[in-house]
Amino acid sequence: MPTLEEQVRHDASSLYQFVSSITQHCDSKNPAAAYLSSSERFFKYIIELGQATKAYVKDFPGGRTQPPQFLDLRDDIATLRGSWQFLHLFVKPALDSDTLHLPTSLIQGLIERFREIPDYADTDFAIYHTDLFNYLNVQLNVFKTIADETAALVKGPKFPEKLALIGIPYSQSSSLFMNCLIPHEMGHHVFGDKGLGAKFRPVVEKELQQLFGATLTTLDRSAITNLLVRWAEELFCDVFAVRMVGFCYSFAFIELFDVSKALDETGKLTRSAGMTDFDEYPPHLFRLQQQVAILRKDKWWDELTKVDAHYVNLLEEVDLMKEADFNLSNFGSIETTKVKAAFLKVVPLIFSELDAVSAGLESGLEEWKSVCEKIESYLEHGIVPSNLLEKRGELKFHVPSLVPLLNSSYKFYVQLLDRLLNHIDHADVSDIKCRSDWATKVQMWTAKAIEDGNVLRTKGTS
Amino acid sequence: MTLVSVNMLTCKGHGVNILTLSCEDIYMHSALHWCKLSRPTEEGYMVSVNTDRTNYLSLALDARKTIKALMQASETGTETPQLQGAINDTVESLRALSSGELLFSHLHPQFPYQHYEQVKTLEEVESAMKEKHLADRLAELKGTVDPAHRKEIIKLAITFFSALENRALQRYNTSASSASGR
Repeated sequence: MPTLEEQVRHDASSLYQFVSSITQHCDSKNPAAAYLSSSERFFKYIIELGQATKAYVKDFPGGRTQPPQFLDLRDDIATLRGSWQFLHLFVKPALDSDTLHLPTSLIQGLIERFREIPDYADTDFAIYHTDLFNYLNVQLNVFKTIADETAALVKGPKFPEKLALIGIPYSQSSSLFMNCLIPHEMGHHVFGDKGLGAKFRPVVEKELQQLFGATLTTLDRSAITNLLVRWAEELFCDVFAVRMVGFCYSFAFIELFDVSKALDETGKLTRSAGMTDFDEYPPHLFRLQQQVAILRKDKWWDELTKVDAHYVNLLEEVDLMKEADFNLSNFGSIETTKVKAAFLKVVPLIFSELDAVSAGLESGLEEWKSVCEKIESYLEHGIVPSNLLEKRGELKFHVPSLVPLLNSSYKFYVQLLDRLLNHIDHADVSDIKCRSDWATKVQMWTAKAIEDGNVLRTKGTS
Repeated sequence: MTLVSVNMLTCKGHGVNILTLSCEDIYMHSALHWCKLSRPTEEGYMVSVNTDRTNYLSLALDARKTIKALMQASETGTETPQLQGAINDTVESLRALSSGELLFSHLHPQFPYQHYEQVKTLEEVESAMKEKHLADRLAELKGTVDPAHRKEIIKLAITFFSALENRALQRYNTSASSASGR
């Protein structure tokens, strides 16, 4: 059998190979591809951490002479391999996400919008593709902790401050409406960054202890606490997204999950059986109900109820649901009324935390009210709504902001697409493909308007 | 069947945790992010606990850091504030687990046992060590003890945190659930 030193030398070499196999993708990335600056920062970090990791093991034996020292290095190697397996998850998906394969203008617009929150004026997001049809946030407080503790082992660089990662479905690079869900992922970043999980856990745990007494062990209680905090996090991210971009988030949410299937032929919510249980996440209908609460609070609701669309009808119906309409399943003999009571205790905290973190963020409602009709008119005539003519005969233009653009465009798509089709020769309003094709164009025109707005605002001209 | 209490069971096959009543037949699909029992208990009720393997990696890295600090303390004779904090968090968590008291009431952002996977792993390692009064013995590091006894406690602590690191890393490597965020 080889000596311990020889064994560990082999292990060190194996890790060196493994790390090289990951970092070489960043080293030799396609020079023709352009990336967001946030992605470039991510790649640079991976390369530097890779260099530090390789230098650490290359230094072998590096003054080590005693068995405990070799064994300690062997433990380091095992943990480092785990860390690099974790980083491995993100490298290729991030490399695939060059600017041609991302909704770049929307992402830039959303990042700018996010930065309007005073605490996040210099936060950045690197975007990567995921095979899942789901939007993902890599919690920075988790990712950065892992990256920094890995770096500490090898004396490598710390992960860049205020750089978060978001995963989007690879297929949605040219979609605008579905990507209105991205602010939810930004909400996850805020939730982690503000330590809201750590704030909510003691509240939930204490409530459970009061309600259940000694019938739950500490371990059981921690399991339920984590589940309820996870629910709270999802709700927080939903209401955060609504506050950030308005009702277009709720529309995208309804569209993604086909929640309107809960409506019957009269527009009533009689087909919601099986859609009201809390499980891994809160039920969609409960989540929408909380979104309505924020829409109402932020004054979108009065405007939205004037919109004749089945998505709005659904929101109105959801708003009428009672707490008793929602159930908790899969809790066995645990009294679900108590679990629900513990959860409902934390719900008001979600809203107060939202108000605290988003203080200073203007809703965009007033601008939306003033430009919505005009944007709809532009879209109806196939015109990119970049520069809205303020007064006929005068060359004065208004460049609409992101929130009015997204909400006007989504409203147009849901409510008024027929108007556009009526202007198009040979377009058939009843033809699904035709509707789909023109809905895609509406998204492209809106994306172009967002891009133009980004450019003009960057230049400082209006 | 009359069921009295709820127990946290661990599937030996895949190491995924399930909150359920005591039951004989537990099977899980290792490829699912959200682990469900494929065969329900007679009563057909259970709570699945969503596992995030990232929490195991975090725990392993924390344990590694603590082990290095313990080795350094063994050489220098003094514990860093970070090491004292790590020992304190562990002692408090172990005590909460055995007493039924609140676990998260003294939570701080760097608390290493925030997530269910971490609490469960801590509990399992403590049980496996068969060391009576482990929390009390680790807590002795906080006080003044003679050097020989201190060395003994540090050795015990290193053994404990090594077991924690190994178990967490094994869980991280074998857990099928996603680490890619949510």
